[in-house]
Amino acid sequence: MEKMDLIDLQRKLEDAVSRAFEEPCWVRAEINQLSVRNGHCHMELVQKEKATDTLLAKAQAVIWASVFSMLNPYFRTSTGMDLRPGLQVLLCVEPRMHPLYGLSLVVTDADPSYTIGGLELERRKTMERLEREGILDMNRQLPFPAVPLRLAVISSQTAAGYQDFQDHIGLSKYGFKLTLFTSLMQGTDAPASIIRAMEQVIDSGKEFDLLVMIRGGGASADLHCYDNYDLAAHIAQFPIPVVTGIGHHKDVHIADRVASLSLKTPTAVADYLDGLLAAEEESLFRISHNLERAVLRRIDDEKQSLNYLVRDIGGAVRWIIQHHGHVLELLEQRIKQNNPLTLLQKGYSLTLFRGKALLDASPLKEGDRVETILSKGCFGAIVNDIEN
Amino acid sequence: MNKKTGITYLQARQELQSLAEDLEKPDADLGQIASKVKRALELVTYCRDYLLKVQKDTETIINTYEKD
Repeated sequence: MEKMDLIDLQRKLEDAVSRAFEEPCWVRAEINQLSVRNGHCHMELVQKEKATDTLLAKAQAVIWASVFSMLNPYFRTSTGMDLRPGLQVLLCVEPRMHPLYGLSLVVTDADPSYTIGGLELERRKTMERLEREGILDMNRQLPFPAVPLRLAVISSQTAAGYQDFQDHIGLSKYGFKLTLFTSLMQGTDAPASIIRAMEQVIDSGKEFDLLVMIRGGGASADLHCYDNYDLAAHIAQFPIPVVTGIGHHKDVHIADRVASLSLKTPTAVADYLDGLLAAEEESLFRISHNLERAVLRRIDDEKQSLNYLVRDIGGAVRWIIQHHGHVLELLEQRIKQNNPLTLLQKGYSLTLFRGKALLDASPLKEGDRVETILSKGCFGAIVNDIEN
Repeated sequence: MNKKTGITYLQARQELQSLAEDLEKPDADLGQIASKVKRALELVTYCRDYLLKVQKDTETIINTYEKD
């Protein structure tokens, strides 16, 4: 049997490997570890058995700086995240055997759509889980406050997004009160950090109308954290409505889906809240205006009907007085007709006998005394000549 | 109540009514006719003045309220 030096063996393997893989090939794998040194990206790729998570295969891979500087931005633009541990990737590799460093896969390309597909699947599973647990729409079903002035804000203090939000809300004429709870807003540690901040909001014991979750900066950052199940579950079950403005423009994350309201940017959130209050103010103005008009109209109506009533009373009074006047006139006529003095004035005279009007001469005897009334004055007389 | 006569309009009218009935009786006491007629005409004047006053008063009141 031939005996050889190690270097010869390694060179033979190098030769065999390069002959076996004259063309690069596409490999599905999970990134297990990743580190970037001097611009070169070193990875440990693995394959696990799905059911048991047992390691089935493991290999070292490298993306040379010249490729990595192009590939990583492309990957980030397509998937919304950097290459990083935990991702399922489809890589174009050239297996290379180096006598000193051993077998390594040199990555020349990556297919982001494979990763996107995997993430999409994961996202769908998370959504299904939230739905199954009955919490998916809990936050969205909370009544949205009409006048949200007391705002708990979760943001990173230094982020431009919080500054934008503060500036915009500061321009508003309404008295918003902000309380900041700082948190990491992107990257792998963001979900736990945001959840901690949410707990601080509750523990503060203060009353808030809304929880505003904002992040400024570019859309290109790694926002995969906003698809995290734990974060989504916390937002969904938060006791007051949550508004997100996490500064992305393309896709909507699960955090946005479960939040009461989701807007693109912190500025958009500030403008929306300002607009909400302006609309509320406007509708209050309108209501009070309508109320005033209704009251004035009602008063006018009442005045009008009072006027009619007064007029009716006037009519009734006139009628009553007329009636009385008429009655009075009839009485006056009756009295005047029966006034014997009117006849006396015409030359007739009235003779009284024993206090009563004398209409018949038969009761009279000579020597009786009678009294005669004239229009002016009266006189007594003795009867001396009787004719019946 | 009128201060001079000491009676109300209604009393005055009732009295007037009975005076008219008295005077229409054929056996009216002629000795009292003059004073009854005089009394009756006084009452007529009183009632007429009273009605006039009521009319003026109510018109004044109604005119005050019919504004606006």
